[in-house]
Amino acid sequence: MDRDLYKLLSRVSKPARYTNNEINAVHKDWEKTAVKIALAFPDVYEVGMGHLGFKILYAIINNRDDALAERAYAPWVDMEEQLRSAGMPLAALESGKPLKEFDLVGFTLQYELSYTNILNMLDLAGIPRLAAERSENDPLIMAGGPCAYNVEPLADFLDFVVLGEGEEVIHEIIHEVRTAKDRELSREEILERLAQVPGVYVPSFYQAEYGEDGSFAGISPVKPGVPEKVTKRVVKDLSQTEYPKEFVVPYVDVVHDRVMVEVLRGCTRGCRFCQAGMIYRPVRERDPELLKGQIRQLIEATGYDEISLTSLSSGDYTCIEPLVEELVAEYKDRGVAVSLPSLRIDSFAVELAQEIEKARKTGLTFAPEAGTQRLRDVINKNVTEENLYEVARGAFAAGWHSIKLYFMIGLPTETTEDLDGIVRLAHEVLRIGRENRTGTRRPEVTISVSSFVPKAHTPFQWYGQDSKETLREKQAYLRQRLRRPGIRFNYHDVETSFLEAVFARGDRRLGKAIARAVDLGCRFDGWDEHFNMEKWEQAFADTGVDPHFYANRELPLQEPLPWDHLSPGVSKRFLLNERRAAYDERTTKDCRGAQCTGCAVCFVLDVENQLVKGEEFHA
Amino acid sequence: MPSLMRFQYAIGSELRFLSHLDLLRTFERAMRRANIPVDLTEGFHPKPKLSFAAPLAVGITSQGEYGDVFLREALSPQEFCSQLNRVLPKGLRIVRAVQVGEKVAPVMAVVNGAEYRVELGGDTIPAERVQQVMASDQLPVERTTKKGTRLVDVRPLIFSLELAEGGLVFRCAVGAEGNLRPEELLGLLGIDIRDVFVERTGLFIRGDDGWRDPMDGIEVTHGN
Ligand code: SF4
Repeated sequence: MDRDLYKLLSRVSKPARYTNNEINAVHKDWEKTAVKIALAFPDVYEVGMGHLGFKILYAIINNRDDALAERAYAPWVDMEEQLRSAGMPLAALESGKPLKEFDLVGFTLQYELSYTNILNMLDLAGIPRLAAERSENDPLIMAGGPCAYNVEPLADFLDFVVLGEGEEVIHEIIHEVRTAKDRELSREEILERLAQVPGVYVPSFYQAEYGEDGSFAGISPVKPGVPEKVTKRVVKDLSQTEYPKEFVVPYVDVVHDRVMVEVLRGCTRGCRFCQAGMIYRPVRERDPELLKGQIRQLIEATGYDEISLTSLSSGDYTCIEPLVEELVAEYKDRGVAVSLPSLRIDSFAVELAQEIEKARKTGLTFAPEAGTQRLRDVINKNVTEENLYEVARGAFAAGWHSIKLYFMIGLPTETTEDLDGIVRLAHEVLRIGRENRTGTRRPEVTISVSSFVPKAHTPFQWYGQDSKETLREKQAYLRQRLRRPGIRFNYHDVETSFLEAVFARGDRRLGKAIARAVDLGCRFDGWDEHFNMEKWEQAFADTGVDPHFYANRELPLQEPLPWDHLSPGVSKRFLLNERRAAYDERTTKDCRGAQCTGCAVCFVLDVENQLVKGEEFHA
Repeated sequence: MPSLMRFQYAIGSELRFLSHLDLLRTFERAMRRANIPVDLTEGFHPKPKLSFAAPLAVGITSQGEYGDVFLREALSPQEFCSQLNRVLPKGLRIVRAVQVGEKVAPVMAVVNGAEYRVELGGDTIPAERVQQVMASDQLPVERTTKKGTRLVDVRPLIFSLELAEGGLVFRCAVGAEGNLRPEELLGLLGIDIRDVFVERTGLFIRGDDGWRDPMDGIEVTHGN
């Protein structure tokens, strides 16, 4: 390490997150590798290192002889200051090469509040923010991840966007970039070719129109041959899909610092507020024997002491119980624990939780989401009060002393009765705890309440978010009624939920507000200590954007949506039907292992729900 | 038969910024990768029985760090070193290991002296400065801990301080009985530790008969 770098790193917090050389980091020959890709996570190392999607892409790309992948993260504010004052550009970890020297820089869009970090990282890398201002020498800036399904607020800044699962399409993208380099094609020509790859969206090839009242009036291609609608990519068979044989093992403490295997992808429970439940369809489970092999290999390669079975809802995995039992038995004596990312007991039994808790004692969580059966029917959260009480009785009897319940406020059709329902459930669970407790510690119930954010491609995408005032009143209403010993009440800041709603349903006109916010110093908006609503308000005012227009307006059903041309395969008709059903308080069943309920993803993408067989596994 | 392995390791420039906890984690994982039969604690969440002497401050490299690890099965010190060195990252290396009788006090309890070398990188320190420090009766410095800030007299913690080729060498106290932070001494000399390379050259057991290597004479206690 040279002295200048040492001096710089000695002056920042947690310098080890910038120093690379982790076990299993891949260092390839820069000169001899044709296509160079930086996987850029728009948050700090400790957050980005936990992201499974990038681990998968990192392995797939580095497995190719003609491509390399390196990692880049948002420097924390003190490091940013050091980089700026030293005039050092933002670089990737492995080679230390500036991001500007890569062919592709790919950002993952995991949450709306990371958007300012993307622009700031481009600034720090010396890459023009606006796609239109980039030169032939600049890398192509790509993006993917859940927020790609309404990427319009970032349209000005991204060269191309990938919808859906990356395992297959990444090869096609590398092929195109390689061909383009061989043939010395221009940026425009590369993007034209990429626009032909299914799942790839090139925002600059589309133009949006707006009505006189400012409402969104549609978006269409401005180039011949560019598809009207881009539909996501999806892998048919998860067991045939590439998965990392090793993970980069960080030195510093990071989130999800453990072996992760993906037991299934997609969720068809059909909760109407949930974007993940719509965009990752259909359900595909991975073969349990294959999973066990992956775990063995990863434990050997990393030395981790924890195995996490990840997915949107691992409790739904067909053979979750035998799998957990076998893993616990196999790894117990080696000090390796088994965990499920969020121990939501709405989908599996307390006995299973006990199996896992043998190794690690954390709390149990349950997510009724709404306080009354009526509202749970509206949102299609198919758990009953009795389910909750049964779990609570079981859990307290088995020795747990605390249960955490997740709820949302601001859901469509919500009334005071539904808020009272939350209070009633909290009191009832506490009472059950007092009656059934076996441990010495006093029973405790934590009520965690978030504010509903309407998301694109869900049945509630048209719904206007409750005003901040209303949400605050609802929070105060609950706080007052939940103030009693044994109950803890947590809630989220209304401002950040509001900002999320603005971007979740935003259009291209928001780009200038994001750019302005970055100029005003906004970054790390997802971090309480950095989020600054005054600056955001100023950014909106300076750019003439009314954020309430995006967050709080009930969208007329006939009005085109800024994300109509970006499709997760779920049809708009299905979303409309589900919306109708919601207001009629009718539920829709899970289609997994049952009848199709017509979301269309299987027909559009020629895929189907793929469940492993429970019986075979036991043998 | 469970046994105790005491090992010396070195931290190179690549890993100088690891915290003590980072280092512990890194060793735990390396031992699992290397299939070292580490003994685990009892209870809900078993942890490897692994401990280190005198945590090294972030930013400092070292030639002489020491750790103790309990093994479930016998393993020769040679195998222990070679298996671990195969899987350790660049910047971390086992220098030597010895099998220790279980009655030997843990290395973290006995180590109480350290030697550091400072590379000034072109800057110089006047010899009077060094003499001044050594001639003082008291050297109060402000020390901030989780409990707050207080004045500590570091003079009794400094045993030697000499100018050397390109820098400084000093010996001081480490551990629970009295611990000098290298940045405190450097601060007294008008040096910001963030500008110079510091290396710990060794850890020692201070006794009436002088400074002893933490592994000296250990082998003979084996089997006691
Ligand atoms: S198309 Fe039918 S079976 Fe396939 S995910 Fe949608 S509702 Fe389920």
